[in-house]
Amino acid sequence: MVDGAMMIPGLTEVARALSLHAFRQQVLANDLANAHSPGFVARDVDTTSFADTLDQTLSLRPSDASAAPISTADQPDSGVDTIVTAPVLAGSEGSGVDPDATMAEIAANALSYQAIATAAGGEITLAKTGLMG
Amino acid sequence: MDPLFQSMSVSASGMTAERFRMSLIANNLANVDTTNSPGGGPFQRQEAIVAERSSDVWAAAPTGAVDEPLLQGDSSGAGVEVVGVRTDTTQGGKTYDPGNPLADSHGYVQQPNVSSISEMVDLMGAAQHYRANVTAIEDAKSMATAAIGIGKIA
Repeated sequence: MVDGAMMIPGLTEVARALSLHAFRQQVLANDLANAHSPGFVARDVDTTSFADTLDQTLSLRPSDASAAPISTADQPDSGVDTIVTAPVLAGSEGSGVDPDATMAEIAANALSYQAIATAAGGEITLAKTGLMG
Repeated sequence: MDPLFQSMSVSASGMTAERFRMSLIANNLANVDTTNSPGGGPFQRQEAIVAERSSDVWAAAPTGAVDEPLLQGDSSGAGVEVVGVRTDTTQGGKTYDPGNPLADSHGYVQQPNVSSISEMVDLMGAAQHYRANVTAIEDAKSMATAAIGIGKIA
């Protein structure tokens, strides 16, 4: 990540979350595009630990609200690089893709991305207030 | 390449594949009564064979997040491509039409193996899937727009 981002607390985490969602969007778009490919097995980013990271980053959990600000050092190892093969569903045309479920995931992913982008804007506004008063 | 642009490219490949399927379906429907084809015999329906595109198409593109190489690479997928056209060689029905010049010695004419109903179902599926890919592109676009808006002075 860019060194300058370290000046603004939380921005590094937000940037990581954004690049994750952008990556996941590509994986899901690939699932959707291959809905008619015979033998294709749908893939997805392993979001189990990712969701934890996201919650922590955005401080959505009530239990984490009082926690100390997250620094890069204690950031948990998110499973962002893990691609898991989803169980083969009774998809259309012999592929393991459920187009409707994939569409829902794509829409939710895009919405999360926009939410995080808004959060990033908030971080920058805060930093600017701190700098300029 | 930025993953958002890559996902647009992936969805675009899906649209291309669906459009190709639709053109084959349209050809099948147009030939639903064609009892005489250039190769002899009745028309035989065709269907597209699609497969996942190799990630090699990204190899030439510069990667964006240099410090997160695991977010790049083969696992993300590169879309779909049409790898071939299969001709359905199953036999269609026969109709009794002794006056037809194509009729066999018993007076039957071999009909094409096209079912207009199942072709229509496939056509609707392809159109719906095309729209789904368009929606995925719209989503990627809205994500990119949101990223541009980060830090915008309100």
